[in-house]
Amino acid sequence: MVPWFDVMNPEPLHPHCLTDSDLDEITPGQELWHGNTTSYVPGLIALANLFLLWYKSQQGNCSDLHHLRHYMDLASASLDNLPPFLRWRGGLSRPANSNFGTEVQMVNLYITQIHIRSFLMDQMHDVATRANDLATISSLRSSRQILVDDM
Amino acid sequence: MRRFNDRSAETDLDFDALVVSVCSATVSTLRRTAPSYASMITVEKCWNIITSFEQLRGPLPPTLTRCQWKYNMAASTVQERGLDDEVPQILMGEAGVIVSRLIHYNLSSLSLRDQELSKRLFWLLFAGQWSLNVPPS
Repeated sequence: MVPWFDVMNPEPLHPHCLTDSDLDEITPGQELWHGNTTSYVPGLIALANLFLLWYKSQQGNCSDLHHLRHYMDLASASLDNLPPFLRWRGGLSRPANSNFGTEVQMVNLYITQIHIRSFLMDQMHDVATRANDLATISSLRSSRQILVDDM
Repeated sequence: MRRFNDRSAETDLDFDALVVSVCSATVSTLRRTAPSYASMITVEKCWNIITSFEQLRGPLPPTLTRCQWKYNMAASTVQERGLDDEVPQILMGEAGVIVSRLIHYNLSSLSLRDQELSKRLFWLLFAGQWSLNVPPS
């Protein structure tokens, strides 16, 4: 999908963090669901930013290890500033404003980030193999193990 | 739901398709353990209903409703048919073009609600199309 927007400045295209109750009038007697009080837009924007990062990585020179390593680092740090209810927290306690929906988004974000790192790692491996860059191939092996551990 | 329950509302094939697509998307998330699954609502049955109407084929008219049901059907058929099937890929592509044009050319003429829904759908489609591109690790 060719983005019809400035990829360096996607914020104007971001939806607002509104709930269903914010968007639509509630008619008397209408059955409410959790979407009436919780907005899932923050999780959507975080996911979109992940895919945008991957999209941008593929627009540059994917035969350049430096370029790929830069985007690997960005991907690895991409979840660091998520709000608590979207942040992967292992066995830590659940924040007050999380629910099943935000938990699904949290897992989706974590797995998507892992997939993107893995894909970039594969690209780096291909480039390093073609250049017979044994040092990079060796360091990728340990990076791959870290990724597997994260998974 | 309000429109669904409003008997006085005009019939609109795209809205009907949207209702069918919501059923399809819901069913696609359910586990199939019942032996009588084949006699229940299935994604394929929903898709057959929609494709039986000539007016629903193709991307025109380029409305938000048409975009929404195409996205729902893409998300549900990809579960059934796999990432490599042409049906979800084409549906995703058509929905992507419609919503991009809506936002680029018609955003200010939409209600606030439809503007917000269009933007949400745009990013769902962006993520969806790039999901189709990420090869399995």
